[in-house]
Amino acid sequence: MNKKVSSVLAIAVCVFAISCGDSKAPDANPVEDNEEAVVHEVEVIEGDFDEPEFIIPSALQISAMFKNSGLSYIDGITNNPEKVSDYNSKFEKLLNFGVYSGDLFYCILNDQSQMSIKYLKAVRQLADETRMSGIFNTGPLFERFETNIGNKDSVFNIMLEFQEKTDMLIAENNEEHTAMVIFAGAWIEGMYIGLDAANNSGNDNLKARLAEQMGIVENLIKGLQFQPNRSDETAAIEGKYQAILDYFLSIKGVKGADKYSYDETALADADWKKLYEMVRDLRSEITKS
Amino acid sequence: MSTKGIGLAVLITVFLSSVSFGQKKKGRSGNSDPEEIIIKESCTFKVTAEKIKMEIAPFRLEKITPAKIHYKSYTQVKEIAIPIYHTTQYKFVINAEGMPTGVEMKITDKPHKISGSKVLSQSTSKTFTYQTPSDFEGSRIYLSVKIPGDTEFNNYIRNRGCILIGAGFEAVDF
Repeated sequence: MNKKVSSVLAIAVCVFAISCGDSKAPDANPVEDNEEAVVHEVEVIEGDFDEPEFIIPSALQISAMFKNSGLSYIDGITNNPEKVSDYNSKFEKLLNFGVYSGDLFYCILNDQSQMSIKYLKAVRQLADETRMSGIFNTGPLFERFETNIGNKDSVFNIMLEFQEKTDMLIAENNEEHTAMVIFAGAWIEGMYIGLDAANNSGNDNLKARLAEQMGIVENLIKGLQFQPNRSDETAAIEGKYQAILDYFLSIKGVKGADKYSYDETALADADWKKLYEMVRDLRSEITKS
Repeated sequence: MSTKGIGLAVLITVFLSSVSFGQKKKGRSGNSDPEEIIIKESCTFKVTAEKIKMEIAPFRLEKITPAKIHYKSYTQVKEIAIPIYHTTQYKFVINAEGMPTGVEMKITDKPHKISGSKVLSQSTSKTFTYQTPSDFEGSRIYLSVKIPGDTEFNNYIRNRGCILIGAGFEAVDF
């Protein structure tokens, strides 16, 4: 049921119950799924949703999947780490925190040690500027990264720690909404690199993984809509993610066996090109490049 | 009593009821009510996360996600969707030690409300694991958690807890 409708219904039933002097005690153990159960709550419930919450995958996982699907390193495709000071609003900074996180994992997985360090520096700067300095301040994470840069296994574990500290900080500060902005940035960067490669190589395995990624855009958009203090800037960006999803879903035959699975073979070369262009344009806007 | 008189009486009754309702809400949200709401937090993120890291082996830990739970006066079902990609197998460790009560947990292939959703695993233990089978074809799994109603809720106590979901994947070549 729509949240507003359930809220209005709750108020209406409360007023009705009070007016009628209903002294009957509420059911001791009603179930939230039951619509009748909601109306026993006196205060308006703002946080109850019928739709499930969604666990966002990590940028590391997406990068690893693309790598395993044959995505190789393309020199110069990532966002320039020197641009880290070009981002002004908190929204821009969080989006590019995600973009640089995606670039960081892409470089690590492709043994680009020096570039990895530059991206971790960029991520650290944006963390400092978005009140997430705790990720790096609770231990010598950056220093350990530099020291272990030649050891892939150690670097991988340090990156897991980075991911864990980010998630923990977000949870402790009730900043879950910022996680989706960061992910939106990481997602667009991963898709940009992947689509660029897919268009140039015709790698079918990579195309399958790219189509699979479209299954989370709906949740990504909902996450962006849930932002507090939404501005024209956030609405415009969100609209562009929606346009990418709308275009993809409009391709004949793309819908798969269930709501979130797709048949990538339904996409003609022109569709892949169009998808790439839409992602590239949004990525350019986010990264100001 | 005339029709006008009855109408007026009804209006006054509704008005008084509304005023009474409004005062109660104001009193609870403001400081005029002597009863203050006490929040009891049971989430143990750091300790539980360490346990998950141990249990996820031999899979590679990818992420630990906390699902925060706010208890209500009534039983509620919280559902969490987890995306699945077909390049790898997954192992999930779900830990409810950060919950002040027992909970029932189910993993299904579709949202639990959808008819035909298949239960893949279920547990009433504080911790359980689930591995996706190699022939799993869905694009998501759904964890639904049945949280009992809180008997302390009507005594101005708000119990809170969390369920941690650890995800690991295998066979990723680095």
